[in-house]
Amino acid sequence: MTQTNRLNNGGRIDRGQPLSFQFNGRTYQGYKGDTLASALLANGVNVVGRSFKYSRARGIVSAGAEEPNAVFQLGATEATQVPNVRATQQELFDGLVSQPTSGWPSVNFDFMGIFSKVFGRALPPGFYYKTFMFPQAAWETYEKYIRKAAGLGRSPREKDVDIYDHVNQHTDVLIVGAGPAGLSAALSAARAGARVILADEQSEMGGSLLNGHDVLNGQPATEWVQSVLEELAGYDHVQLLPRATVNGYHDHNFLTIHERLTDHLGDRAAPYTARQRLHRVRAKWVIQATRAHERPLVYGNNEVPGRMISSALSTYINRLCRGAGPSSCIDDHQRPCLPDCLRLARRRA
Amino acid sequence: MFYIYCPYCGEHREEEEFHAKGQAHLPRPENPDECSDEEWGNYLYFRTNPRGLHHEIWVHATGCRKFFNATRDTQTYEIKETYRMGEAPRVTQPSVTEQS
Repeated sequence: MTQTNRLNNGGRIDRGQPLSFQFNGRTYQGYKGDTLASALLANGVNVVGRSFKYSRARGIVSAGAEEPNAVFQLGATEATQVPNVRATQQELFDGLVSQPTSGWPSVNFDFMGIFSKVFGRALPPGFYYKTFMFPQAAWETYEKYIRKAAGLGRSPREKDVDIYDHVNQHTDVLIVGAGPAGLSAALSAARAGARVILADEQSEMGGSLLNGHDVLNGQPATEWVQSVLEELAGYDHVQLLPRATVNGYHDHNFLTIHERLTDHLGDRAAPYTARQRLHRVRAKWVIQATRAHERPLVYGNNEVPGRMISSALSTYINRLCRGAGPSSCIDDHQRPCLPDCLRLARRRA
Repeated sequence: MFYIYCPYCGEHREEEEFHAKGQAHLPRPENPDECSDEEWGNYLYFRTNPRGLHHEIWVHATGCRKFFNATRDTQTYEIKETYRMGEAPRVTQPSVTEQS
């Protein structure tokens, strides 16, 4: 497969390291630095899922944790099955095997989608599959079909082969998010001598600065990010945690961090290596430098594959080098992305 | 998960090391034989369940194994103070900002 929608230069992917992966039984090519979502977009894969109930085709709409459609089943073997991974958060590795979790018999040819087109009017809003629960004896007959129509991923049938780790930590400052705000905060705290943990859910720290062509102090913002990260890495009292989601903020500044150590390297971790680690952190101060999620505009057919939110488009063009296909449609309302659109047009020309 | 200062150890420790033991400062009736059933029943079984400040007993179960008192806000889970057995609490009123 050729990567039809791939830009020829720029971005943060390594074109010298092609990777092959599978989606829905077919093999595609991507590059190191891609997310599964960006690699699929580069290959022109538009339909990645089906909606509940009406089974309408769904495409990738975002580039981060807010992705509602590209929810996949990962794993090359039965023991390494992981359900419900967002393709926008999964880094590409060589030999990655993914399956869509919705759509039957497949996302491209969906039985329920056709059924809904013909009989959709017979399924009014407010009709739920729970309706089939009565009479109770019939449920066992319906269940497996309804689960197929409504469910997402499945759990593995074999024992997990990987090791999972946890660690207790104390720190002066815990910073959630390594965008411009988080990095500045980490720098100030580290220079003052405080113990710092900087956790960011993405593979690369820098947040929104990685997407754009921003200039900071007369140099590209990505260079500023690089210099800050180098300085932070030089401090013994600073701990940088990329690929680490802060997933709980409990009483008295107790936070939990879910760090993915090897999920980006392969189907399973190397022997005697932990795959994921849970950090239980007691912090004196917490700085929440998380970003805000962009909300999509509400209009008819706003979920047709090919349409995405503007911040995601900016990420895909500038960071992950996906050129837009002929049918790209962009919701541009909360974040002016006109410069990105012009850049896209220029690159296609 | 609370972070509790043990007044005997002189350190903050994780909640896992402690057990809560209920309401503090319950005077035992001077002469139980002369109590009515109701008075004795109240002493044994009836506890306040306030929204806001609450004085309660904790035990540092996996630490020094000593009992101590804490003043905790049941609404915000903030622990205002911890103090040794036999001492009187210093925090008995909500702070001015919390009253408004």
